[in-house]
This record gives sequence, structure tokens and C-alpha cells, in this order.
Amino acid sequence: MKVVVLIKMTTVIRGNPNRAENLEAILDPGNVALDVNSYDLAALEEAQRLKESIDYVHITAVTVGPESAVKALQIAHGMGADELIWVDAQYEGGREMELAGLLAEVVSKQGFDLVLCGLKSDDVGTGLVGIGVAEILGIPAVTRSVKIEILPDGGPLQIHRHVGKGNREVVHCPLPAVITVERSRRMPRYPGVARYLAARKKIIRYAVEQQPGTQVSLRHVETKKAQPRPKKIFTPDDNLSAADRMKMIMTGGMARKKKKKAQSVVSGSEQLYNFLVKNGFLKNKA
Amino acid sequence: MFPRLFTPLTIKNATLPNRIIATGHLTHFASTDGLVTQRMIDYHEARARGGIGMIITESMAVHPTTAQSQYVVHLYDDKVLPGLTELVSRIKQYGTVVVCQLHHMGREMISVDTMRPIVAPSPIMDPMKREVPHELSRAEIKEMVESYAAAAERAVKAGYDGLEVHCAHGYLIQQFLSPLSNQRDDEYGGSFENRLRFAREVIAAVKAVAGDRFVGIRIDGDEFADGGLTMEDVQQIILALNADGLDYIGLSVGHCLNYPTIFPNMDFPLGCFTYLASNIKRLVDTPVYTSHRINDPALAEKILEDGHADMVAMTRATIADPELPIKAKEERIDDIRPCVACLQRCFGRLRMRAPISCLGNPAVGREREFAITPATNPKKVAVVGGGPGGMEAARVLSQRGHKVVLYEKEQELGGMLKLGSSVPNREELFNIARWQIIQLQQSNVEIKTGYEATLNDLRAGAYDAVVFATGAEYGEPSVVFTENVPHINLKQALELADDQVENKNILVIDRDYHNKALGIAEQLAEREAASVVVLSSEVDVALDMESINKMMAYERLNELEVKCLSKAKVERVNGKDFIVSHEGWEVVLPDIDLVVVVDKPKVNTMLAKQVEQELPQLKTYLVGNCASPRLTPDAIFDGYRIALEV
Ligand SMILES: Cc1cc2nc3c(=O)[nH]c(=O)nc-3n(C[C@H](O)[C@H](O)[C@H](O)COP(=O)(O)OP(=O)(O)OC[C@H]3O[C@@H](n4cnc5c(N)ncnc54)[C@H](O)[C@@H]3O)c2cc1C
Ligand SMILES: Cc1cc2nc3c(=O)[nH]c(=O)nc-3n(C[C@H](O)[C@H](O)[C@H](O)COP(=O)(O)O)c2cc1C
Ligand code: SF4
Repeated sequence: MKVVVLIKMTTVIRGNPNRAENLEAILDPGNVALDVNSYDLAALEEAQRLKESIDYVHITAVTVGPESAVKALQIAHGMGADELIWVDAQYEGGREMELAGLLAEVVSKQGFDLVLCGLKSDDVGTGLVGIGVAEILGIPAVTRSVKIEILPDGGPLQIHRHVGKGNREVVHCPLPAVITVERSRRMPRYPGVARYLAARKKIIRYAVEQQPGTQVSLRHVETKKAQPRPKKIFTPDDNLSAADRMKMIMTGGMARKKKKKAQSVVSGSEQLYNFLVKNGFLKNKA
Repeated sequence: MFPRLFTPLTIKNATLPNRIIATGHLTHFASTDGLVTQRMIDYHEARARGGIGMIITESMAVHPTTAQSQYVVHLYDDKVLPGLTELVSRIKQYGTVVVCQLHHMGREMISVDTMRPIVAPSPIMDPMKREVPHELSRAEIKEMVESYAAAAERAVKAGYDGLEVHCAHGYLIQQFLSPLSNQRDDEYGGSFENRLRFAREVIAAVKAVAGDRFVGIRIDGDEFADGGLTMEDVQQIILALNADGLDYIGLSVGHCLNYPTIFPNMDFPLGCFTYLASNIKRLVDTPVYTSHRINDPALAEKILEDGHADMVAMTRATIADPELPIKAKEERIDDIRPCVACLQRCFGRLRMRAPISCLGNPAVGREREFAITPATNPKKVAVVGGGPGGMEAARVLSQRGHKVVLYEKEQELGGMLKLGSSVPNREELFNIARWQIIQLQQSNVEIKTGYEATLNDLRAGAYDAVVFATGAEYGEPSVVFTENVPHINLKQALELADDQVENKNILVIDRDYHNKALGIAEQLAEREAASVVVLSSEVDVALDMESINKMMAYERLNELEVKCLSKAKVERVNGKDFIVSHEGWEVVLPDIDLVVVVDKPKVNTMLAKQVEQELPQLKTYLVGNCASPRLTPDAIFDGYRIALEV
């Protein structure tokens, strides 16, 4: 099953709450931080649980945003996403349907059975994007999910919806579908460091081709795959003479034992004898 | 099996279907007018058909002052365009990316071909070619830059996907880069920046006309000359050139002061210069290729896997077997005809100013006439002799649909090559026989080893034709200087027991003029002979041996303290002391225990002659040493040629 999770970075205010009254101060970069939208983390967690419950779940995380959005993909990868797509573009609040159109294009390009996204964002919070995607793709949408189950034998999904005051509604929904996820008691797992760090290499990047009107289309941007660091390889020292460098290469770095021709025992002892005589240690008997 | 090798690579607007490339190599297939010939087109087309990712065609002259020989493409003249366009389009139809190498030799050439003064940044004699060049004036440098651009423009017109500026192998651009050859005091010499200026100007000029085609360089990763550019110097140069914008960087090695490294023979370990590319790759994002002694797809895959390079040059490997990429892809590894780095027929023939061929692949440069076609009239053919010549004949005959019986009197196939590869640093030579053996085992040739063919066999076998590949044999030494010292032939020398060698003073007489005297001398020295001296009456020992193999052999002989004496004549022998004259000097070689006379072997045509007499109606052919004693490639060539004739 191909699951696409739509995620984004949100702006959260931090620092002195008193200052937050002052709008100017909120916009001050020192008072805001970027973090992955908490509802999106819930959606990633849900996808991960699906992956654990059945075989063959492939998770693609998609984000739209500037360079800073890459962090969301890193976290998604850290949590277990298989494929990462970054659409390098910026959409402010108020252009939700335009964004939904773009995402619809991404997910249909990617191929999917299920689209998951956060119920809404922590900052803008309209909750329109997921529903918009479903509308554009012409598929059902279920909102405020707190639990997704897969019924056996390829049946529809069984979704527990949050309907307020602790009540749950259980609905069935065929695939493909869009489901928006509510924060629940299911804590999003912590991203693994190794996968977090390895994520940058996997990101597939698209740019948005602006066309007249609201029509947008995607263009794949060649992101250079991260260069694998060359493994260590034998390299002779530059300070050696050219001949020595060459010698090392010819022998793969091992100094070839110079063949010393065996000297016969007689001539060896003869030499020693001569030396001792010459230096007066021994008297020449002959 | 080789996932990385078969991952496409995009360079600017061109996509290589895989990472196997052939670096530029002069073929001598061009005409004396400097035009592309049908032969050259067929040669490259065969390689493109074999599935190679990128072909960099041979170094082409950008200016009338440069020529390696009479047979280079005159890229400085528009006359080349029709031929070049055809060449490029024929390569491209297989999806192979094709690149033009823009080349000027500077001083590393002789003026015999251009009949003009050779040129260089400074009037310093080339240590190898021994001609003093004309120092380029600033106006002439400008003209040179323009000629690179004009040549590049022609290449673009001809349809090349990319252009390679040849900054390697000690040629003109490297001569500007290196303080050893550039001692100018104007803005083109002196400081690092100044020495770099010419390369920068050339690359910029080429890029200006390249349009949407990519532009790369080939450069030596280390000059391996004291006082010359070290690896670190070259890294700085590459970083500076790369900052100006390069689409790929090819690493190479070798120039006039260490010539053998350009064409590494089997002395060089496999992939021994890959570290040069690796040390560039860790510094840049631009694709990098490595070359030199990579003859096996598994090694190439490993180089990519370890991240040392983005492309792997397998130049001679694809001369030896143009189908290497396809065979690797289809995992038919045993079917890949190996390059054994012998240099005997590729570089060796260049030195003889002949078009290239290959020891194991006679179809090089003869793709059209040597295409293996099914026989119109399949025959029953006996091949007598399982040396390289006989095996090649049997292999091709059976491929053509003939019914073949191969007789070999020894228990194993391989013939004299078993001896040939037993001397030091020649082991790899047997790989070609090993390949033939595997091919024969897969074919439906009936192989009779340990079976000496006789007249009766040939009479009884109802053969339509017999191919004799019975080789040649070593007989009595052709000269005996004295009865006091035993004289033996090469074969006997190869069979000496340890106690017959150790602590003996051995004299080797070179009357073969190829590698054999040096080979046996080295072997005896390694086996702890007290002293080994090689004598030749010619100006040089091993006169006809391929030059790079010879240079490398000398080095090893030096280390083993083997002495050589050329222009030598044994004047007389006193007891066991040999008195030898050499250019008017008398040299005494005292106390010689053994003389090895390395003669040319004598043809073994006994059976062929019998058949001629007794079975005159039987069609016979002679192949290899039994036709005339020569070398392995000649035997293989004969075998292939005859197999097409039968
Ligand atoms: C020390 C040494 C070093 C060498 N180095 C090189 C080198 O570096 N490069 C190079 O190119 N060449 C080299 N050679 C030469 C090379 O080995 C020969 O040129 C080559 O093997 C010739 O091949 P061939 O097929 O013509 O004959 P051979 O290899 O001699 O094969 C003839 C075969 O026929 C068989 N035979 C003969 N009569 C019969 C019969 N009646 N029935 C059945 N079988 C029969 C023999 O047993 C033999 O196996 C070297 C040779 C020696 C000895
Ligand atoms: C016959 C022959 C001709 C060559 N000519 C050129 C040349 O014109 N330009 C060049 O850059 N290198 C030339 N070379 C060097 C090759 O490009 C290559 O670096 C060398 O053969 C080592 O790589 P390999 O082991 O993959 O063959 C030539 C090599 C051979 C054998
Ligand atoms: S002639 Fe020798 S070195 Fe040249 S390609 Fe053939 S096998 Fe390799």
C-alpha cells in the first residue's frame, strides 16, 4: 500500500509571552522557532503504525516550502518514511486551495492508495488543505481520525473519528482516500538519529513552474545525490621523491624486499676474519 | 551484478547509459590527409554497439604544428567535417555519448611529421624526443588559443556531445602548467596563476563555442617528476579550473619523464592510479573519471561503490573486447576477452607507426572484413596444436558452423604460452589462453588433449581441411663458444633445477631479440644465480621488444643486478672466462658456469610436410609459429584469419 503523508514546518512562538502581545515582537526571528506541525507528526505516526500492522506499506513524505522545510523530511525519515519529496516553493496562508492543487499533482504523480495529513496546522490552522486535495482528486476524505485500522481481506479502512467530548465515531471508507489526523494519545515516536542524518541524501526535489493563471506544474530538479565519501585509498606521500612514490604504487604501498643474494658462509666468516686481522685484534697465523 | 556500473549519468545535456567509458586513444586509422576513414568509423561503431557509455575519440590535432604521426585527424581544417560528422552520428545511434579530445603535443613530439619547428612555452629540450622547441611568442599563444576554439567549433558542428581539453600526458597545456617545462617570465610563466593562464584561456575559449555541449578536461593527477607538479599542486590546479566551470574531470598520469605510466603494462597493479581520481572526487562535485589498468567490470564496480570516481575508463579492455559492457550487463563474465596489458599490438603498433590491433582480438580495425559470418559450406576441419594459434582457429571455425576436432599432444591446452607466461611479470599473458580455453569448452569443438595427431588420424578422420598450428621448438643452441661451459637453449633453461642455478654465473645470449632473453635472465636472477649477464650483438638487448615492457623490464633487471651488454661479441674464451668486445672495449666476464643461448625457435612442420606428401588432396593451412616463429598475437591473428578463409 502506498501511503503519502503531507507534512510541513510551522512557526511557533517562544520566549516571553508578555512580549507576544506586541505583534512586531512576534515577527522578530528571535521570538519564533520552526518546528514540524504537531498534527503532521501524528499523521506520520499513524502511517508508521499502518506499516507495522501490515506488510508492504511504502511511506512517502511530501513537504512544500523553502529550504527550511527539509527538516520536516529529515524528521519523517527519522520516524521511518521511505521516500522524501520536497517541493521548493512558498505558499502563505490564504492560498490553501492553490497549495492543495499542487499537492494533488504531487501525490498523483507519485501514485498512492492513501493520503494522510494533519487535521490542521499549528500556525494557520484552517484545516483546508487535506480536504482540498481530496476534492481535487475526486476521492473521499475523512477528517479528525484518531485511529486507522485495515480490515482483513482488502476490505475498506475502518477509521475512528474524534467527534468531541470524548466521543468516537467509527466509519468505513474505501481506498483511495484522504484522511486528516487529529492529535491523540498516540505519541509520535522519536526520530532515529542515523536516519535523520541520512535523510538529506534521499530527498527528491521539485520546483514549481509558474504558469499563467492558477495553473501550476512541477519540474523535477536534479538534486545532486549526496556524494558518497570516497573510501580511504592508498595514496603515496607527496613529500617522497617521484621515484619513491612510483615504487610505492607499483608495490601497492608495500616496500618490496630487495633480494639480498645469499652470501656463502665461508666468505662471510672470511670477511670477519680479515677485518679482525686488519685491525690487530687477531694475529695472522699464516 | 553491477548496479553502479549500469546507473546512467547525466553530464549537462547528455546522459551516459552506463559508467564505462573509453578514453581518447590514437588509433592510426586516420588517413595521411588527416581524414576520418571507414576503418575508424567501423572501429568505434563496434564499441558503441557493444554498449559502452561514452567514447572519447582519439586526440585530434588542433593546429598544424602538432602531429603524433602521419595518421592523425586534422581538426584544424574544415575538410574533416564530413567524415567526423559520419563518425559521430554512427556512434550516437547506440545511445553512446561521444566526446572530442582537443590536442596539441607541444614539444613532446618530433618534427618529422609536421616538418615545422615544434613549439612549447619555453625552449627546453624534451627529455624523450630530444628536440629543442620554438618558444611560443605571446601572439602565437593567442593564435593557439584561437585554434583550440576553432577546433572545438568544428567538433560541435560535427555533432559531438562534449569536448575534452587534453591537459595531460605532458602535452602543450601541461607544459605550460609545469615549472619543469615552463620557465617563461611573462604572464604565462612563473607564478601558479601565470602557469595556469594558458589552460584557463583555452578552456574558456572552448566553452565559449561549446554552446549546449559539455566541456571537460583530462589531466595528470601527479607529474611523478622531482621538481614537477605533485598531487597537491594538481589538486590546486583542478580546483581553480573547476571554479571556472568544468563538466567533468578526467584523471590520468604519465609524461616524458615517466612514459610507461601513460600505457601501464602488466607490471602495474590493477587500478593502481585510481587514488588520483579519488583524491579529486573528495574535493569537487563535478563528475570524475579514473583510468589505467582497469580491465574487469568487478573492479570497475568496486571503484564506483567505494566512491573513488563517477566514471571508469576501460580503454584497452574495450579494445580487447568491444562487447565488454553488454557481456558484463548480461553477467557473461567468462566471455569477456581480457586485455592482458601486453601493449604488444595497441601501443606497440603505434610506435611502429602502424594502425592499432590487439593481441587477443584480431578484428580490431578490421571490423568489416573480419566479421565472423556463418560458413556457406560447413566442413569437417582438424586443428592440430592447442597453442593460442590453434585454439583461435578452432574457436572461430566452430563459431562459423564448421565441425572442428582439436588435437593437442600435451595434457593441457595453451602451447608455448605456458612457458611464455612462466617468466616473471608475464603471468597475465596466459589470461588470453585461459579465455580461449573457456570459449572452446563452451563450443562444440571436439577437444582431444594428450593426443598427438598423426598422419593416420588425419587420413582416417575424413577431414575436408587441416589447420596446422604445431608451433615451433627450441633445438640445439645455434652457437657454442667453448666446450668448457655447458650451453643450453631457452626451454632447457626454463627447466633448470634450483641447484643448477643457485650461485652460478650465467651468460644469456640474446639471439631472439624479443622479450625472452630478458625474461629468462630475470627468472634466473630471481632464483639466486650469482650473476646474470645478457649479451646482444645489436644496439640494444631485446631490440624488438615493445618499448614499455622493455623499460619496465630493465628496471626490474637493474634491481636484481642483472647486467646487459649490447653491441657485444664474444671474442674468445679462456677456460671459463669470456672475453667480450663492446664498442672497442674489452670486457671480461669471469668464471661463467652456464651459457643460455636464446634463439628463435624452429618451425615444427613435420606433420604438415608428411600430409603434403601423403594426402595431397587434403586442404591444409599453417597458423602461428609453425608458419614462421613469431609471437602470440601473430598466432592468434593467423588462427582467426585462416578460420575465415576455410
Ligand atoms: C619464455 C617465453 C616467453 C614468451 N613471451 C612472450 C610474450 O611476452 N609475448 C608474446 O606474444 N609471445 C611470447 N612468447 C611466444 C609465444 O608463447 C608463442 O609465440 C606462441 O605460443 C605461439 O603460438 P602457436 O599457437 O603458434 O604455437 P604453440 O604455442 O607452440 O602451440 C603449438 C602446440 O601444438 C602442439 N603440437 C605440436 N605437434 C602436435 C601434434 N602432432 N599433435 C598434437 N599437438 C601438437 C604442441 O604441444 C603445442 O601445444 C614467449 C615464449 C617463451 C618460450
Ligand atoms: C593505443 C593507445 C593510444 C592512446 N592514445 C591516447 C590519446 O590519444 N589521448 C589520451 O589522452 N590517451 C591516450 N592513450 C592512453 C589511454 O587513454 C589510457 O589512459 C590508457 O590506455 C590506460 O587506460 P586503460 O588501462 O584503461 O587502457 C592511449 C593508449 C593506447 C593504448
Ligand atoms: S594489445 Fe595487449 S594491451 Fe593492447 S588492448 Fe590488446 S591485450 Fe590489451
